[in-house]
Amino acid sequence: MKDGIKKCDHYLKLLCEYVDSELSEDLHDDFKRHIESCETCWKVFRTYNITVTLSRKTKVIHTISTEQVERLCTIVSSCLNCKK
Amino acid sequence: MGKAKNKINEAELVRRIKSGDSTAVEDFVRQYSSRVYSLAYQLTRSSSAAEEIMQEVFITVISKIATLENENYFSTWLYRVTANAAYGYLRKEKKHRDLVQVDDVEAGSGVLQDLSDLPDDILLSDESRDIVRQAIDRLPETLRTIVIMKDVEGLQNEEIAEAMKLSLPAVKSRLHRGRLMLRDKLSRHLRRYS
Repeated sequence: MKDGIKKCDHYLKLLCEYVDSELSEDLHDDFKRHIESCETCWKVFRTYNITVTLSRKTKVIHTISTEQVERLCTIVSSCLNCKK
Repeated sequence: MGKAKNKINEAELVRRIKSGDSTAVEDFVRQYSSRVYSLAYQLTRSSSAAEEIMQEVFITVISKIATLENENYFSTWLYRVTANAAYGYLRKEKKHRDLVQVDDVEAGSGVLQDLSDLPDDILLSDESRDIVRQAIDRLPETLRTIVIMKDVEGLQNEEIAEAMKLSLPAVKSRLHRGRLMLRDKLSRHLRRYS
């Protein structure tokens, strides 16, 4: 039992990198095999992964208008000219 | 390949600005305004604040560009200036209170709800997204910046490390802790459906 928890702890430390696909191929496959056979780790992975997916969905896409850009260019340029 | 090309363009743009090329400032504003505005907005959740911050960032960056030694770090420097300006704004407006010290955060300590049986339309609903958005806003500053840069703005860990002057393991650790805190909030919210 203790060995099982130890094993799960080891895998859960890799969770962030697994979700971000940053593990080496061997470790990635090893992790995948573990969560497919361990219900507890599967649940942790699933909730973690859903959270990351939802975080990505919170992004608000903004389009900066041409007017805004032009106004900004004018302000920045005039500030720089003042400092010269 | 694309990244390498972007870096070359970025370095070239910085050299043009440094040499006093007036068209370079305009190119710089056009190329980076959306990214600066977006990060400022995610950190402040205010359009007027994002616009004010964007203006401050461009003026700061252009006036201090001579101090940038390595042109390849231009965009990460820009992100750092933006994050600092956003938190400066929030402090000034007293809208942000970072009461929780990051070292005191017991991330992931909550009871883990089993969400595996819940359908995707609940798990990935707009309601769930809004819970996560609110939870991001309440994260301690040190975790929030990393989560927003990585999961919302899509920056690479290496870029975040450079922008925030942190080691790569520190970025990964903060990202993981931030995500665990968000997961706890989401789990608690979704408990009602299970």
